[in-house]
Amino acid sequence: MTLLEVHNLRISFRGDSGFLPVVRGVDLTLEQGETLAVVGESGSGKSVTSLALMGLLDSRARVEGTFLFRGQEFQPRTGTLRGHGISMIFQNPMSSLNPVMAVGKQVTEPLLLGGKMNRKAAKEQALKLFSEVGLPAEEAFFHTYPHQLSGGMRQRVMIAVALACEPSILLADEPTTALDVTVQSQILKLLKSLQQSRRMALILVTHDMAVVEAVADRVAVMYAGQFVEVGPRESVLNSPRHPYTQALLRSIPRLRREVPEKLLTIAGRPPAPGEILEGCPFAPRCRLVEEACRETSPELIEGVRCLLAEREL
Amino acid sequence: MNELLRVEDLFVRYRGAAVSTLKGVSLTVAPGERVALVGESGSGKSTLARALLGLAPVVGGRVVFQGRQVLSAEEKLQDREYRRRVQMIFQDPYNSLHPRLNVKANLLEPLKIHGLYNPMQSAADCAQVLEKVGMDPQSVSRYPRQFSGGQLQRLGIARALLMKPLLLLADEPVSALDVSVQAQVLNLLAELSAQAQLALLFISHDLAVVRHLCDRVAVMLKGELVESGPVEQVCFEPQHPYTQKLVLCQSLEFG
Repeated sequence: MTLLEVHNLRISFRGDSGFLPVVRGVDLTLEQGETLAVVGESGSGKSVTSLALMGLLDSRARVEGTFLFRGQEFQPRTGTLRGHGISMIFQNPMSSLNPVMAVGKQVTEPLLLGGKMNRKAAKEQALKLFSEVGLPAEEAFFHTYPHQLSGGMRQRVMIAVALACEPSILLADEPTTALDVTVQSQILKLLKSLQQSRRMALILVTHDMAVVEAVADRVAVMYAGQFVEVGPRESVLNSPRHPYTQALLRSIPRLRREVPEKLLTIAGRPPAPGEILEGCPFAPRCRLVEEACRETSPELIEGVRCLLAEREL
Repeated sequence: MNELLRVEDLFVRYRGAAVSTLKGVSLTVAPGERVALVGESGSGKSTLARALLGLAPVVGGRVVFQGRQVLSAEEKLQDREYRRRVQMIFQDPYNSLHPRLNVKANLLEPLKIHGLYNPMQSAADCAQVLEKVGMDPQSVSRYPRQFSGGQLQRLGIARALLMKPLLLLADEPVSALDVSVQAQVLNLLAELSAQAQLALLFISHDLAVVRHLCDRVAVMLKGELVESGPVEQVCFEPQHPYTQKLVLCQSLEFG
């Protein structure tokens, strides 16, 4: 059964002159054990989408859409699924852990909140989690504080906290961006192995194509608050169909691939919320743009949101 | 010998620190050469750049520029010619321009400090470098807040170019930028260095970017240089275990 379904997710923020649309109609499905990577540049709406799923946006945001978890409708805002249904890790573990609470307590906190576990059982469970994420499963470590740990270890603590209530879905928003390259690959490997051992679905929000290539099953490319291309990793990365995905992939230097002398660039910048009037939001930057693109907003058809790709079908 | 900059056995130690941040780093940069410094955070790559600008306490070794010693433990950085010819581009373009000065004032400030300012000539130069970095010369009267990150980084580069530098120190100049904008700035740096015989000391943690842009790579670990060589050699036949690890981690792009 499909684990998570989201239909027509729209998110807008209250601004000086009414609501500014930030996410403009996202449909998303997630199967058990699957890794979906959501890629996009800053401002594309990828982080806001994951915050909305967790119900972490405040009252300035208006979230609309239909959300189904294992076929049951739910309201993310109420937080009923938080912990055992959906859990989240963030980019900067230092600012998401409590700096004045020992790490052991931070892991047992969600366990005790459920009310099903006593202190002793929670502690045992926490030690088990520590060893699962590659941290020392010892009493002494239980009492260390975040500032005593390296970035990679903090992220491991964060992962242990997120896994405490055995979520079906783990949302990871740029989990490795703040880490050194060598540590990045350790954390990615850890996430991948935890996902397999727990049959957990993973939504990975990132701007790093190398990360996508390493862990994703499916990729959704986000631009100006919409998915512009969705598909299996191989097809999106190796034969992208949307001009934005094509341009994005060709603008990134790769270590193992021959690259042209000059990197392809995408002129201009992504539109700010509220700037999109009509037509395809990528049209002003697209090298294949045609007259029709400026007038008609394309739909997501067969995984691509582009009038030109549509015509080829 | 054809060299622009030579760093000899440089030690940096901050006051009160138990160990040196740089432990004897030696490096040369030839005119027009593009050298990358890679390494993890804390490896000392930014400290080396800061030391070259006179912003870190050098306790041993020396820096020689065009055959003249400009910096050592005893000698503070005073050489005006060096100060002019070595320019820096910072990581965070949002914080490297003065927010209350317009573009023109921002760009001309270093010229004034160096006594190179000439009202007629400098305005013309300003327009010229803006054109060179792909910005509208009309933007001189605008303020930093009116620009995007990529544009601000171009302005930072323009400001450095006005001094007619021979060496650009670029500390992670694209890591604060969006992917689609990164390519614009990398292309610009490559173009400028080729056109103007401008040497580049490019600090980065991304080997893929380095391989694209640079001729030579120096790998730093814990304040020491552990490996250096031509970019293809270091990326494809890394010798030092740390470099091997780095390359392996970046080849995560399985395939």
